[in-house]
Amino acid sequence: MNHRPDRNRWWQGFVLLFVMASMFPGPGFAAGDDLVIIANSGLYEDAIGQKDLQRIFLGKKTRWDDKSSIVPVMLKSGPLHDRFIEGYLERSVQRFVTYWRQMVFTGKGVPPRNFVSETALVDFVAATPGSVGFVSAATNVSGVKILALD
Amino acid sequence: MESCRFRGFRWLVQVGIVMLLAAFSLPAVAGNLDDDLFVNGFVSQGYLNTSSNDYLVSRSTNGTADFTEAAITLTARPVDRLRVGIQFLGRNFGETGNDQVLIDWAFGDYRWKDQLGFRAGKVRLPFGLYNEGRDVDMLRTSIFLPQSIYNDKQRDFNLAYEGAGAYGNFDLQGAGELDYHVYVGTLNVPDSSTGFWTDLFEGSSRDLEPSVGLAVDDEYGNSPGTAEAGFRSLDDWEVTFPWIFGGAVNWSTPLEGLRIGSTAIQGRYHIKAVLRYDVNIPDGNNGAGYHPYEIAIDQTHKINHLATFSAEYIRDDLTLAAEYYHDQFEDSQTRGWYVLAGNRFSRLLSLACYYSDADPLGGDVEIRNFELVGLPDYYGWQRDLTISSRFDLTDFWLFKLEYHFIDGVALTQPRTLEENLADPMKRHWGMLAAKTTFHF
Repeated sequence: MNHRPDRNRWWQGFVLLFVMASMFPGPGFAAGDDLVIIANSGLYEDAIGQKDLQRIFLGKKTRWDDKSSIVPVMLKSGPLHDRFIEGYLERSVQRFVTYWRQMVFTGKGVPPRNFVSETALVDFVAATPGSVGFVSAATNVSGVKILALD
Repeated sequence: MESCRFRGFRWLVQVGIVMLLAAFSLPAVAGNLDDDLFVNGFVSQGYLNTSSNDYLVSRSTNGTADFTEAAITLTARPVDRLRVGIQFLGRNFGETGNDQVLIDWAFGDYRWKDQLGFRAGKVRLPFGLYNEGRDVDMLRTSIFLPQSIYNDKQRDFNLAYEGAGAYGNFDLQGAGELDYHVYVGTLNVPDSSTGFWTDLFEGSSRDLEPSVGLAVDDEYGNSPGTAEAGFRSLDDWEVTFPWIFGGAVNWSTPLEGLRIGSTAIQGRYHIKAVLRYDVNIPDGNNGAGYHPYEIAIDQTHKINHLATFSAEYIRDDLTLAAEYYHDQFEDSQTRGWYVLAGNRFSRLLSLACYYSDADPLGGDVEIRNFELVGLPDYYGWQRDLTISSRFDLTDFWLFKLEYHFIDGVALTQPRTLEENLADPMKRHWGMLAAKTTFHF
């Protein structure tokens, strides 16, 4: 087999494609009011900063200020899941998924527990000390506390 | 920690089990069997073909599909703060890894606090931005990482350290975050009879043939150049790293997506071998006839440093990265660097491009040495412009295709000086690679 690369044409075509495609910004969402951050009702904190949310859901912050364990939970997929990652964690879903794949396959961490339904997520948060997650604002959140965003 | 090895039939069984697990687990994104036990894995098959010059594997110019990987990862959280995990990996890549399932990493991780945790066991080696995840095809667009830093010939022994380390993360408030990892231990060479070390020292052994001939001439009192020595074998061969220590620091800057880091390693390696030669003294000279000749090697060498300096910027689906590598051994040094750009254009398509410049023999002085023995200067470098495409066919199945435009031959398969003088390798050449991966 003999490859005879036409180097200039390949290179120029790739650069043109790359520059044109990169000019279109990726999807992005601002943190909106249709989503609420919930936590186990035993948590003494009433508010949480966005940076802390990012650090928690990336596995970098694992302890609340009282040294108890943080248990982050999230929806498995869907528009709300994407909005939380893009709006609150400020990264693309793909980047978030890739980050956790790297953590898993290098043994450095395991991703947040995930749930198919918001009801199941709320039930888990209600029953699990230290847990924190998100659901849509319309979801019944009795038994858990809503954290304000600092 | 001794690597576990199984042969032939067992390898096929292991791969089959992983593929079955993958097939039945595809709907489960997280792969958690219950709240505290996680199972993940991947299976991949690749193909590569070089236009000229054998590279990464023997006879790559003929094309080879001897490029298979399968891994299964188990992680558990038995108690608060403690995590344990293990990854089994089987890999066929040319002459290396054949029919073996190895423990790729296995360690316990006790995270006392966010700023300080401890790991002990066989732990992925933090080196450069991507060494820890180099086997994980799903993490990047390209099939091969830039070889100027992530040389696949050296992958088997610099993938993980065996020892203990400390790590942590500091929130620097307005100044970003700082991650660190320091460790002490050793590197395990799974099979020194194949791959990098054998290539290196068999090549050196052949280059010693004239010196062996001169030594025999001196021994028998013949005039220099009388005896003809031929390298026969490399026996009782062993490579170990008595100790290494190192560290990594990564600063996630206040500019979202920009991180800057550096890693370094220092240590010792020990080589032990017997080089065997057949020496012929022609009739009419003292000691005429064939004589066996042995050179016993039992040496410890210092690794002054291996170091990287890195920067990476990720914004939405755009990734930019650059890294510089330098190592210094007792009497040699190596340099390398690359720049990379990649973008995910849609759920299906990602493209990336990198330019990698490897100077594995230390620069201008070595290039002049090549010219002194009659070899072209491009034996002293290897520059690689790579264009990669990745197609995410489903959430669990991807396909990659890439082409390397290469100038120079410094990282190619070893050949003897005689072979190179008789038929020099081509300066400009290319490599086509394709790979598909299932993961769960």
